[in-house]
Amino acid sequence: MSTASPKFANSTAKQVRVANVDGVQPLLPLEQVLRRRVVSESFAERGSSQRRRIGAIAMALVAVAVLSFRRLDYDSPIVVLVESLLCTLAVGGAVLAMRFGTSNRSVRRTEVGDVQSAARASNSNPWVVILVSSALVLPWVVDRIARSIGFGNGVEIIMLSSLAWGGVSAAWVGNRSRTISLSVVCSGFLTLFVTFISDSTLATVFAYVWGAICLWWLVANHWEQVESCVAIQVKPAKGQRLIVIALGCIAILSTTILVSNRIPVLRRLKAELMPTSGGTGDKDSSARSGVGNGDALIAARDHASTFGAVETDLFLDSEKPSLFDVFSEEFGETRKSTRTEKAQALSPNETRSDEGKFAEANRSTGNDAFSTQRSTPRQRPVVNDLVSESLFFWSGQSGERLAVERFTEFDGVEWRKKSMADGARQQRVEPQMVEVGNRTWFQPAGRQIQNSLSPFVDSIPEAIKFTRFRSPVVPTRVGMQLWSIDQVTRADFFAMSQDECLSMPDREHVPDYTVVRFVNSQIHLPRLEGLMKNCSPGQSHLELSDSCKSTIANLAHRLAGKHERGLDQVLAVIDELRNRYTLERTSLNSTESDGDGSGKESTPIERFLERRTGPSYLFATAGALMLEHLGYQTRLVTGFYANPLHYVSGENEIAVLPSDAHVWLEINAGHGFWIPLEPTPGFDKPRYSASLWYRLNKAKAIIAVCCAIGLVFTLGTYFLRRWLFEIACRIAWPFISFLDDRRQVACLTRVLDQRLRLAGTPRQAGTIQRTFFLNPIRTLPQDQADQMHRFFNESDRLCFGGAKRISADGRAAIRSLWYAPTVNSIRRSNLRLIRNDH
Amino acid sequence: MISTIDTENDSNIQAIAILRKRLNLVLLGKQDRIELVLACLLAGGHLLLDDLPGLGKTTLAKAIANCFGAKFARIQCTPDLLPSDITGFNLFNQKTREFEFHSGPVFSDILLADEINRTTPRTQSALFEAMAERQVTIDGESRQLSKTFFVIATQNPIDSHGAYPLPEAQLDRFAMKLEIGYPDRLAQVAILNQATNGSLVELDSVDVLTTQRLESLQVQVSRCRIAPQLQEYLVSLCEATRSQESVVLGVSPRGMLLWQQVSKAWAVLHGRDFVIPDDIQAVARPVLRVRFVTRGVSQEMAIDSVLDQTEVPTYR
Repeated sequence: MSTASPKFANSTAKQVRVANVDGVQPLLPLEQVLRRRVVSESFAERGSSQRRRIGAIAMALVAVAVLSFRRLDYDSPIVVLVESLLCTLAVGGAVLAMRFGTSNRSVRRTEVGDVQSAARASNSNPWVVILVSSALVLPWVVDRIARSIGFGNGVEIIMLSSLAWGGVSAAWVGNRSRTISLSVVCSGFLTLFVTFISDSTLATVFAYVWGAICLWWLVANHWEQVESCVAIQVKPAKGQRLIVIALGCIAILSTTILVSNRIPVLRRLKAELMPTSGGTGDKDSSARSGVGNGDALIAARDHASTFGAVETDLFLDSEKPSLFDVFSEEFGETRKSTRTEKAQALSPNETRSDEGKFAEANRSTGNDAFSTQRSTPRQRPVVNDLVSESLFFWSGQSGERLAVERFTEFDGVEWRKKSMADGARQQRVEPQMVEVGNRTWFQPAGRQIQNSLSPFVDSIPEAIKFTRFRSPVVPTRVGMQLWSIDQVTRADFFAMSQDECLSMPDREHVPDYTVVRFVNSQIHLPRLEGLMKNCSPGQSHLELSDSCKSTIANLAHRLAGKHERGLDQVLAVIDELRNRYTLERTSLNSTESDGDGSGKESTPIERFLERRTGPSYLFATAGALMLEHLGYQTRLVTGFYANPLHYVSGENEIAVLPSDAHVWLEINAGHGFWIPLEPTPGFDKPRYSASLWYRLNKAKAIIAVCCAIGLVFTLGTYFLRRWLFEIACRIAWPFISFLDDRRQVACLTRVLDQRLRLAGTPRQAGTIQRTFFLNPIRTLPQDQADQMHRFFNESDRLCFGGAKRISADGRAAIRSLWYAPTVNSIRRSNLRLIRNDH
Repeated sequence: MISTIDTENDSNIQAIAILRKRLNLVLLGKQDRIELVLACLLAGGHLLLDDLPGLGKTTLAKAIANCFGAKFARIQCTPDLLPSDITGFNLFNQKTREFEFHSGPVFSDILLADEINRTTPRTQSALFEAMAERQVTIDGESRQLSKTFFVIATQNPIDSHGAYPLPEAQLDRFAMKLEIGYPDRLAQVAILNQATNGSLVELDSVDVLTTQRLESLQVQVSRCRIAPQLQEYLVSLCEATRSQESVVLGVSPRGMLLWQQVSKAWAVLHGRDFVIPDDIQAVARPVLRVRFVTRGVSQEMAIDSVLDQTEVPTYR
């Protein structure tokens, strides 16, 4: 009770008054008790104020420390030290000035209650004002001097420094509770902000320290207040607990997401949220749900070797005994002699007497008997060969597009490769060899896939295992950095064509059972966006009829909508294609007459645009044409799609079948970086990697709108809850009036309880409703009080007295009370209740 | 309050009004206490008055006896009081050559056991059978007491030197414990006026009831209806007293029965033939005060806590 606020004086007065009436114990006069209480509270308040101050000072100093720690990364330690010393002197001087001024005044103090006023008077001490102001100005002065000798800082850092020392001054010199609270807010902002902008993970330690002190400060200073405020509402307000817990969880989650990049443990946690879940794709792009985090898969891939047939049933099932079989008793079984044969070899007497012994001996398969006669091995059922149609197996991300050929020129019907001189066409571009970890790797010659401009980042190990692929071209995906085949160390083994397709030129096809390993990259969305925003218009290689051109032009502009040039525009066109057009597997004839009888021939692309359906190559063609029209350079790519439906779970691979042949397009994002686009519905879009923050930032408009709507709705519902409840009651009455008496009474009871809750005075579980409503101090209007009496009496008779129904007066009371007292009138009566109580 | 008593019970209603009037004329300014005393009387329970000397305990007991023209007896409990002084004893008659029974004060309608905590536990326990079963057994022979046998025991909360606190077993036999307390200023002036005028003139004008009427009232109380959900509520309250950490000894099933009976009596006193939750809560404090043993907190706090935490049945 000693730390209670003056609010408690009222309750104490009440206790004294009540006790006096009961006459249980002799009591001091009320005024004397209250006076003593005020005096003791003043002392307690002083102690509490000191505690608040110490906590706030500690937090302010932590803020100064974290800022200095940050500044030490790039600033001169001497400048930081000088500034800190000068500011400390200024603040210390202000404290001394305040103490000195206060002690002089305290001599004249006669009443303890004057403590506050005397302390407040110290604010007018000019020395305090001057010294505190100098603490705020000193960082600027020191910075000006530091600049003149070649150091200096940014304005924002000086502002932060000034704020930090302002916080220290406020905590140390401030007399008002709100000044100290302001200091806490300042130090909190500084600590968290500097932690965010700091590169060192050690900075988070300061944040934790500040958080711990702040928690202690809050609990030490405000716990009783919170407890006394909420104690009356804790029990019935189960919903509030859930809301508080939910808000707490959201706050913790948000904070974790925000600071996770700065804390190694959390970074690791984010990468491997559940280490046994099969990975998150960060380490292994093809990681899936299941046991293991993907590391084992990578390890197995690194040690992958030939997987041809080594042991076959044919070898094991040979009827001819090998040398091993001669000494192995597991091959076949000893031929068992029949009883008839034994009888022929022995006399009848011996047969009878030795029958059991021979039988036992012949059954023995131990070392005491060995027969060279062998039974014919049991025929095993013939197993039909499993024939796989797989061309190759892709060990990597599902939904990837593996390019085989690229076409750049379109004549209206057919796509062709880039026309060039025969010499150039036949020119082989040999890759470069690099040694990485005792292994020979190859990379595209004269080109680095990852540089400062490149949209490709990260290194993802992937592989292809060829089985019956009849082409010398090795299917690859965009962003390929390196590749290798086990023992191949010759660069002339490979050739890189002009259209960036990898092949084995001297071979008829890629040898079966060859494993080609890749180190591929991912497309980084922020970089790609930046690149495409500034990419120059491409050169058109397309020849189309005028009508088709105009159709394409109209369509392109319509699909692009209002998007500005860049990735958003491209994706808008592609998404519209995916959404508005449907895939049809069967191909369209190259040319066909129009159905209107005009005899005019239309190309497949024109028919596709008209019918809005077609195979994937027409999607790619339409997309390419539209993007070309919008000024982007595109090309058509044929290859294979790593269909997730063909996933082989045991091997963690995707079987690529002939039916997975697919056509898509690529767009030149600038600087020669081609990015795949997927216009065909039903096929996964290319994946772009981006941080969660970036994605949230992209969606900030939507999030903001959703939050705003949610906030407006929540706040609106909250502030209008009483009105909404009354409206709901009025709407519900026609339905309630049809219920029987008992249910009507029950409904009204709930409504009255809810009104009490909304009025801020929920009825306790142990309080009788009648007692609560008909409190003599609560001055409900007379007619409502009468109706209440009637309702409670009738309800008692009905629910506890065994009556079958209530009277007409009772029903009238229910109808009347359904509309009034409203929540607002109960609130007004609550106010009167509180006023009278005090 | 709703008047739901049948017309045949009109005389009982009048009797209750007479009781109120007579007792209020005797014990001034204590209407609330008189209501509780009446509830205890109609419930057939026994009353323990825990208060300072000179507050009207004996006057109250005598007034109740006078109301019904009942036989009143008083025991001043002292350490040398013997059980036979309460129950009575058999004395050998030299003339008739037979044992003759000399009944003790327990063979009365209203018994006032003054300062019961001054006598020894042995003597205190002599009242056990009388209070619980309304009979006494002397020399192997059971003798019935009056059907309206009503014990009013008093004890002094201060000056506990040389006192024998009543054991919990005996306390449990009382229906309720009351503190009469000092009268207010107006009542004190009225008391002084009464003393100056000599006697209570007004009291003579009020009718005197019979013990048969008291029996009739008690029967009416026992017939009072209590809804099943209220019985559940009573059970919940009693279980709550047993499960509270601060309560060493909760309410026994006998206490629960008495609580129900007193609640019924309270309902009848307020003109109803059925119990409502208000009745149970209204008599909770005096009923629980006599059988509650708490640790660390006051009895009042523990009772408040039980009442606050147990959910009241609502209209369904």
